Amino acid sequence: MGRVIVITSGKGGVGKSTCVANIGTALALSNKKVTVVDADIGLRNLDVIMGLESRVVYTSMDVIDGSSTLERALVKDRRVENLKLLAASQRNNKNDVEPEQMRDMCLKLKEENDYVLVDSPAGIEQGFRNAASAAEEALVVTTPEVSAVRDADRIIGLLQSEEIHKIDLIINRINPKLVAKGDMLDSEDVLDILSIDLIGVVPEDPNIVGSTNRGQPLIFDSKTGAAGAYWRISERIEGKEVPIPEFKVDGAFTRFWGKLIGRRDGEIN
Amino acid sequence: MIQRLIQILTRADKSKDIAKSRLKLILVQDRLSISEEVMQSLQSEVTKLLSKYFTLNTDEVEMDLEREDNALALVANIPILGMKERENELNTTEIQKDNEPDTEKANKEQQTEKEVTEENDSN
Ligand SMILES: Nc1ncnc2c1ncn2[C@@H]1O[C@H](COP(=O)(O)OP(=O)(O)OP(=O)(O)O)[C@@H](O)[C@H]1O
Ligand SMILES: [Mg+2]
Repeated sequence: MGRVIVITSGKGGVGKSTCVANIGTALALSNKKVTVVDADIGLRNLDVIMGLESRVVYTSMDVIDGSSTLERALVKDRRVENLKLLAASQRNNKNDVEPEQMRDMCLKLKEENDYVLVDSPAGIEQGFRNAASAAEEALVVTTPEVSAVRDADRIIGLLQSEEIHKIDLIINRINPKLVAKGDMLDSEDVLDILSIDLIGVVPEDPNIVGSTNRGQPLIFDSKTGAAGAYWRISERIEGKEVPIPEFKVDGAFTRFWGKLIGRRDGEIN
Repeated sequence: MIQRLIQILTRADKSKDIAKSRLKLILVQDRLSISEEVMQSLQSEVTKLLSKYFTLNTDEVEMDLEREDNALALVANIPILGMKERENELNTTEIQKDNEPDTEKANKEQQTEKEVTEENDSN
């Protein structure tokens, strides 16, 4: 019997699907049985981020209306053992699925997996309720921006009212340079405001774009930057105590030099 | 030039501090406005209290939290139909209100809290 974890956010585009692809892959690489479920019906893209789009034949919609079995609808990732994807239908919309139907599917998947990661659509509507319907745990993703944090607070309230009490926060796209300049909320600021448990801080990483272009989650090729953060999150999900490093650029003096001579400083560490 | 560099290095008005204080305020408001139930019961208790002193148009009471400058304000709009005489018991006024044929007219000419101080003589 595995764990069903919904990955959600209030604001769109904060990096949920990228998190699901990478954390799911990381867990599978650590020999866990994982199924990632795209619950973003009508706007599916987890398959694309994972590079599995050409192999999707059936979707969760086909399972619901009986035109496929659940087993047949799962797409096996060939790069790693024990990682499967249940894709979302692109032609339907969120209201075509009832929370109970989504719940049934996830509970079946839970029996055969160590982890079922559900990629929720952004927002507070039916799509969110569907995605959260079977989950006992949630990862809330936010960026360190006012609007994203505000919406994260709303979604945390809704998760609590759905009786999901294990809620952890992922702060995505931290830019150490901006944090050092005082132009970006740091993880402490965000935590101070949302007051839930932090499970990871993912830096802004230019390599994400290329990995999405190729359809190969970054975690396959890298252990640093964002990929390192996804690794550590997967380890914390597994219950290991892994410290959360601070993402800092070089001290003020280097930045000062950088400004004077126009050097672009600071690799993300 | 040097001044500008010092400014960059010591930036008093860090935008993240502004972001943080804005967020805090926004969330106080969001969290409060989400708990409709609390608002509802606050409204009914305030209405009950004020009813001891005024005849209110209870259907039109509005109460909300609004952001004003840097603080959160409870803004209430409570139409008052008339002043209650101190000796009057709550019950008598209720009956009065129900029987009085003028009530509908009075409804249309609702007065807000602010206006009532000068005009409550007319009722
Ligand atoms: N740590 C990161 N560094 C750089 N870019 C990132 C990072 N995380 C996500 N992105 C980029 O942000 C964009 C949105 O990511 P993603 O699709 O994962 O978000 P989402 O929350 O699933 O969006 P939606 O709400 O539309 O489902 C993508 O272009 C992705 O490549
Ligand atoms: Mg997504």
